[in-house]
Amino acid sequence: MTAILLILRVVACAMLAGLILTPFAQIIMRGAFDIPMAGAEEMARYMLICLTFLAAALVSLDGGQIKMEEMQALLPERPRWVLQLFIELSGVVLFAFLAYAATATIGRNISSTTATLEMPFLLFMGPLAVGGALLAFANVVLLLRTWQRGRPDDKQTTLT
Amino acid sequence: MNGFIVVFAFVGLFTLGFPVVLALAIPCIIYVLASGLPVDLVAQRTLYALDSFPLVAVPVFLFVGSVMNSAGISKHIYRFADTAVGRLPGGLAQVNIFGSLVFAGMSGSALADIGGIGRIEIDAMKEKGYNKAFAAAVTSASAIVGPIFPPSIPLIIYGTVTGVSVLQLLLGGILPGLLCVASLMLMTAWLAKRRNYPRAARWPTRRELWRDMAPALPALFAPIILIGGMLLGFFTPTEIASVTVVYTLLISSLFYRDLTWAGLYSASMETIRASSAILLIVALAALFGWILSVEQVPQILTDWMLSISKNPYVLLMLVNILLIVVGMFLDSTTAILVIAPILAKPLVMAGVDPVHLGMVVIFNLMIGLLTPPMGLALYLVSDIAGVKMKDVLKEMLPFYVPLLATLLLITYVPWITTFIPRLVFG
Repeated sequence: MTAILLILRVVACAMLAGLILTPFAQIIMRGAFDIPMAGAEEMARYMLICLTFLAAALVSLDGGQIKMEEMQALLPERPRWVLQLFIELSGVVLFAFLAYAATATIGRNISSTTATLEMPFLLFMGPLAVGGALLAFANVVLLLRTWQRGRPDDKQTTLT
Repeated sequence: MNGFIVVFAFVGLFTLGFPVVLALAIPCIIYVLASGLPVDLVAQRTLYALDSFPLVAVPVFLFVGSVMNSAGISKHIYRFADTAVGRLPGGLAQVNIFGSLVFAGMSGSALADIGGIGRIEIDAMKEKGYNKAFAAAVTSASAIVGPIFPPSIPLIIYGTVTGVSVLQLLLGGILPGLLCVASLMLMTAWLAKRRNYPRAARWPTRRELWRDMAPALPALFAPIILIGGMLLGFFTPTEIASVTVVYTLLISSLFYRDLTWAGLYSASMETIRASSAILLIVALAALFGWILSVEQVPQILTDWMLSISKNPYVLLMLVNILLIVVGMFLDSTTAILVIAPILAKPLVMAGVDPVHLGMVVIFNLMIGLLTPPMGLALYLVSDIAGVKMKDVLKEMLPFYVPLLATLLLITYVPWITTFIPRLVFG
């Protein structure tokens, strides 16, 4: 578990660095050397996709997904606990479905490639499949934590 | 009808405390499965929503705010603001507002403002004997300039989902941002005179001004590079974001020398968490938006709104009322993704300029950050200042006047928003 989180953090930091440096390198190459980098935009977009889906499990485990629990906090303790278990269970099902949908889509388009960089579809759609699976796993962890606690988590509203 | 069921299901789940991603995705996936649509649709809509170059600017601008706070740049901005405007009636409250404007020129997030320079400002105001709740109220009211003045994360998301030029939206935010600052400063001056708040004993000498301006100069150059780059058409918004980060990292490490590796890592992780949380919603909202389009929800609402009136000013008033209510209950990113694509069509058909509409929408939703029950800026600032939210709210009341007055001006004088984009793009 710790190793997975460490890998995710390293990958996410690398993607963030890439997101900053790719457009900057594009400006330098275009402005100073008059050599635009073909595919720089596509690479930046791909890193954005990787960052979003691969880091999403980290966000979920830290309780950082955007939500409002003001109404939920009005419920008595027992129904609130059951509701929280249900939310986490639905997270497991939904993200597992997302991972399945991505995997099925990859299977049907395995020979396709992206427009400029000609990236294989497996690589392009892969972050969604992996990210969906990791999110489902993160929700399993959250579900087990809530179950073992035997009472609801404190009210926690998270917004942007 | 199915489209409205999806909308109501989203509202219901969100209200029950489901994370936004789940509240959006559950009804959508049930819709896809119940309609017998291929599951590929879910994966492709979700993934392709993020296959957008302007969205790359979101994490990059979030990173600027985090680095500024980690590297202590906010301290230098605050010191300069204190010297420059501390003599105005309201003293440190004016410094607070002016500091937020300078900070806004580098970071597009209200929360980065409150958590960074806002924290310094509140502490300084408390030390000088200002009421804690008042300090918190000024900080949160002025923080909303961040997402109005370029760069602005909400404007980038708005442009991405509605197809309006992000560059024009960002340029359109310059005058409304300045107007908002001016109106807040006027209200602060009026309150300060009534309540006899302290201020600096005298105006600074040129020497004093330069002494505190010099350390802040590298930070003050960032908005100039950013806005200059946009006005001259040198860079796209994403490229500007990248240049701003590289510039911020350079001045933090070479000039201020306050940025440590630990600080950089902390800023990176903060950015990654915030970006992933926002962009995952952007991804799943694309499926939600697609279902609403297929079910003709925007068309039904367009017909309904145009049946009330075809006058753009009447429609804009309706939009203001609707968005103020929406802003009270929905998080701003979610509101932009869910509401903006629906509202844009009837308003643009009635003749409202899309850039103008974008500014009206974002300004409304930013006021929503300051209104309960979902006023995140109020939550955060209460926590930082160590005061009860109801006390902050009481002190906020006078500040709603300039904010609403600015909103009305922005709504009914489109020129304020469209002047600079038209000057640049013709």
